[in-house]
Amino acid sequence: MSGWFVFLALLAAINPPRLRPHLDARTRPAHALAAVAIVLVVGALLVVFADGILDGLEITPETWHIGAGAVGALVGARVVVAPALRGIEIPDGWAVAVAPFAFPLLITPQLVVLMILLGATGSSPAAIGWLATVLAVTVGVSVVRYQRPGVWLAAAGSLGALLVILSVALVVAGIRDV
Amino acid sequence: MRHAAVWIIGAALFRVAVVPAEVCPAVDPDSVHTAAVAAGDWLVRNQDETGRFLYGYDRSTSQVNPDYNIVRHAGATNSLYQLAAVGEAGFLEPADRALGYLLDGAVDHDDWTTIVLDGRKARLGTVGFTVVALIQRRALTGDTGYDELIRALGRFIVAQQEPDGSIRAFWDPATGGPTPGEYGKFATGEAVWALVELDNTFPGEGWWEAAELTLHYLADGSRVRKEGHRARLPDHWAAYALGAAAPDRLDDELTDYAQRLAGYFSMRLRLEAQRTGTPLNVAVRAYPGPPSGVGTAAEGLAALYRLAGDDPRLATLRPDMTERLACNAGLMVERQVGSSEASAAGDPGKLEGAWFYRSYTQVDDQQHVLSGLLGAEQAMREIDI
Repeated sequence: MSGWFVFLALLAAINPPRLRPHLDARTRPAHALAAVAIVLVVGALLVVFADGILDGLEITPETWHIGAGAVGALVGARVVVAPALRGIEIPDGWAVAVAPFAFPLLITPQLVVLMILLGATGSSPAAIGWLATVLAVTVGVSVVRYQRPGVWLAAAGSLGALLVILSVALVVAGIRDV
Repeated sequence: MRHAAVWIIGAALFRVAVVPAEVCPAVDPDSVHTAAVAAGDWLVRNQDETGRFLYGYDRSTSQVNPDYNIVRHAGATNSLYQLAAVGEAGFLEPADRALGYLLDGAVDHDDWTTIVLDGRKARLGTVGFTVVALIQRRALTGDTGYDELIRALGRFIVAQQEPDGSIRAFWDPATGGPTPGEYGKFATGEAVWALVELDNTFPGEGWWEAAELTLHYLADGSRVRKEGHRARLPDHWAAYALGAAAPDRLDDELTDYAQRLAGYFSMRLRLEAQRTGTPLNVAVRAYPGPPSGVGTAAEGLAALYRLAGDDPRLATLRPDMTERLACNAGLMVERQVGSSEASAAGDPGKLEGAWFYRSYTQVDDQQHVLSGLLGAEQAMREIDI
């Protein structure tokens, strides 16, 4: 996977415009940064222990490729159909960094399977670096003033469509891999 | 809480339906060899004096399938020669007997020879396999007495070939010509394998030009369009052809084709490793596959493994190929009917060494798995995974 593919796949998996109504770094910057740090640590752990995770599951990276593509395609399709996140409550206090900022907003099934895939098939430092880059973009997006919800939803839907496309590419790569 | 529940349910579904464990029983090359020999023994034990094999057997009813398929006979003949080629010299005589059955149907026409048995149309695949069998025999015995026959059979294949590289699957003795518009799903690959082997045996006689034309027909999607397939076929016989060709003969399109085939065979074997036969697993992964189908994927991958050994463009794939072949070999050794299981049944001679799909086995089950196991054995001896 090229660097650009990884960047776009992570961006589509995290989908910053979709999180923007809930992840507001303008009003709660410290909490948002703490959440991003948590996600970076979790992502790094998934990358570092990817081989062990797949060994434990008795799954080859090539099959995981297909599985990761299937998850991404499913989630991406759902985002296209329903780009708005619902049922997310933002409480007061530092706990918000863990829930819901880190989980379930940033740590998603598509991100988890993708980080394991990146760890099992590529360079770990590069994967962690790309995750850090996309998280930085996410923080950047979350400080943009939230106006015109329709535009944000359109952006979220577009990234959902991108996730579908990239996930299909992952499935095809998994089929072609030996 | 609701999100955590969704995660747990989703993860369970993902595990069961999308990424079940790939189970690879441990096996060593000697056990793989023993299993291949046991399969060869099944073929020989169930071969009559004319050279014909038992075609099929249902263990649940103890019924023998009276049908016969001459292409599968020819394929099984090749597998016996493959066993002889790895040092199991005892299989040479039964292989010769099976070959003799094919050669009894040799019919000369124009400047070529074909095989017509039971008054039916001559089948391209039969001729392709007969050529390969004769060439294997030539390499094993040094007997060049059949060289002119090999060439004459090769000329039949070329006579069936069309300018776009397609090869007509049948020749009708009643009309004295090819059956127009009929192509075989696997016959083309069987024929092109024969053409490549002809070129290896008799270089400079123009066989490669015919082989190359058809290999590109298979590789560039022409077959898909012309013969109405939905996708490029996972053609293990084409893999044999590519594996037999000298790497410097293969341009980038053919190398890409080899890599694509390797990917398909690998996926097929990974999928098979996920099939345990438990009710829940059957619901999402189906019953463990027919041995012939599993065997074709293994022997196709084994052929490409041999190609990758000679072709630096594919060399990096060899460890993964070995891993897949070893995994599949472990599965098939485990699934083979052993002597104790066979002796507990009514007709052990039809069971021991065989692989059954549900309760039925057919000659090509033993043929394909046997050849796949021999390929796995080679890979496991060469690469430590």
